[in-house]
Amino acid sequence: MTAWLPALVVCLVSAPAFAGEIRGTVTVGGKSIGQGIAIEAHCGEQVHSTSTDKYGSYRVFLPENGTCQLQVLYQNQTPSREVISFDDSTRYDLALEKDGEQYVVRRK
Amino acid sequence: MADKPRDGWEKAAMILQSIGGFATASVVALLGIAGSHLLEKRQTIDTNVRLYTELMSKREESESALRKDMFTSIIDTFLKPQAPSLDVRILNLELLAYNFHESLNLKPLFFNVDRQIRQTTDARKSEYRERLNRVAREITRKQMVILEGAGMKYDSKFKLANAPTSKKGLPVELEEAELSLEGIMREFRMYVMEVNPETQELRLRLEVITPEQSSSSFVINDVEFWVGFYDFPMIDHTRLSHDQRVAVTLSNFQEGYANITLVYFPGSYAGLKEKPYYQELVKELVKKAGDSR
Repeated sequence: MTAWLPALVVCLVSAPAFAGEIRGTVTVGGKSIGQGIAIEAHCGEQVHSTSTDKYGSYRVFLPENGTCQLQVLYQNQTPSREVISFDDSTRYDLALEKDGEQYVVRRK
Repeated sequence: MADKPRDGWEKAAMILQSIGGFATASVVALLGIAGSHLLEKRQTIDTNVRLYTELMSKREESESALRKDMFTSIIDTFLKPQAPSLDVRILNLELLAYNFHESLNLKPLFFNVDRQIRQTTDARKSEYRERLNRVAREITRKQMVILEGAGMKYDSKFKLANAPTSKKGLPVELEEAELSLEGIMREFRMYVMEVNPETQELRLRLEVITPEQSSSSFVINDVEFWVGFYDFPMIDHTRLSHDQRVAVTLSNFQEGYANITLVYFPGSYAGLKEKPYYQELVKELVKKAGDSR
């Protein structure tokens, strides 16, 4: 009994708990941003990373509910916008637009 | 003055004149006969077609009336305040399912009877469940045979233990499928969002990626739904552009695994309950007329 109890506690503590999924597509000039563009969700101290697939779509799982900053790492710039994570999956289709020299992220 | 004897040319002209007259008369007569024969033939065909159409529409009418009466009397048994026994209710559901599975979404009735079986203390409980499952699977199989013949399918299997049992779990991504139908290639991605072992249902997210005319742009549509044994693909499906449909069916949910099948099929094979989008129909007709020119 005493032997497996600490193991169970370790398992429970380390088991991944996912609050919600943020997913969608990223486009530039109305076209897919392409494959392999890094996306980061900054939730407090935590950073959750993913990258786009051939259609420019992404999905990232966030362990907590609440507000995070979603960053697109594109052409040495990091345009970002606020996203809210819920228990369920939320779709954020993003469009990168140029504002002067800087890219900004808008939700489609 | 003695008559000048006729030479060969004059004789020939006389003979040819009379032959010509005879030939003209013969051709006119033949044309008349052939014309009247053709008209008569066409009239016979027209009459036969009219007769056939009348017979068909009368048959259709009487069949519709019979089906209407049958439907009304069966459905009444489900709506009456004093419900019949479970055995009778299952029998009625079997009758409804086998006769109207292409026209009605029977999922609510299946669920209702399923709930009653769960609650009953009847000794024949397992027999009732088996009957209900058998009819549901038979209907799904029948519909799948038709839809697979007209469209494309993709089978997938996953371990139930990997799938979340609540909203908070990590969805399971299934292998993507690229299917082409009527010259339209689409990519289908399925995610198992949640599993309900009690009702043997899955909450799925289906993403449909359709390339647009230029190769670098795509349309991504997604839809989330629960799928179980009582979802019949002809009735319960997702409408896609170009009058196409996609449905997902559950074919197995046991021994730790679930089998699902995605079927991508033309809209003309969808069940009768569906209301056509007239705009889409007109577009399709115009396109067909343009193609045939």
